Amino acid sequence: MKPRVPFDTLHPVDASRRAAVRHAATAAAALGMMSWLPPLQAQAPALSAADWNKAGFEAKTLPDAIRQLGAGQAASSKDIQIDIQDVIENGARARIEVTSRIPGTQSLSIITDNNPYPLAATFIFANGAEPYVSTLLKIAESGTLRVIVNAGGKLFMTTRDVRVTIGGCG
Amino acid sequence: MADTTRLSARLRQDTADIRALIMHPMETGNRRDAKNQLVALHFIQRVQITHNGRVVLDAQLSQAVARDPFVGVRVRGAKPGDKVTLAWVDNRGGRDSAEAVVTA
Repeated sequence: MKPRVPFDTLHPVDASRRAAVRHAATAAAALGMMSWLPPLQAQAPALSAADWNKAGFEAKTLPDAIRQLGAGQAASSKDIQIDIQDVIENGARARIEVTSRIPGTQSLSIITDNNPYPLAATFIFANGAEPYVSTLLKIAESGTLRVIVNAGGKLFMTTRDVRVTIGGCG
Repeated sequence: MADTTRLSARLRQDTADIRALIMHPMETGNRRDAKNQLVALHFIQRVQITHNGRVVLDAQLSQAVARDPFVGVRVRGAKPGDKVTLAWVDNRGGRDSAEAVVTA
């Protein structure tokens, strides 16, 4: 519903109260039309980076990265399947698929031992998501990949060695 | 909206195979440009995928994820017509989102 009078020309200059009230009402309507509401993000707050695991991702050594995940006591597991080529041609874009068969898997983290920052990513599952992820990583050089699974607060880990022909972190 | 992100959700039996491809440089901070200047760290930190309004994936990424990141997940109990969304935010506050519908 467009206001009858453009907002910037509204001046309650008329002496009569009726005219002044009509101007005010139109001004209010115009104000409602013109006020800039920030665009609503569906019904949820905008995704924030505040929860990003800074300490984990900025750990420069493998022991520090594992410690930040609380994974120092991770039990070795054969129920974490890492699908990746044994020899990776292009370390800048290495396809990896991880499937956890550990019951109650809530999250999995991927670590590349020899990368400048070992922790590459963490995936948290909920509401019917399978404990599975497919993604592309940068792998700096040949070495060990490891996946750490958190299932009900218990940690499990499996490792996989890969060879990289052209390193991917530069 | 969704200029950067391609999102698809294909049903296989009762599981939605959700695939996302996001255009983003994912700079490590180590690369040098044509003028030999270091290109600053610039990468997606979080990705969130929802199915019918519920969060199914909360991903925390780093610069070790490849440029133009791909993320694939699978959600059980999906049906054709279900709504899937994805939102991401990067370390400079850049963000985008996309929607898709589960197709058979």
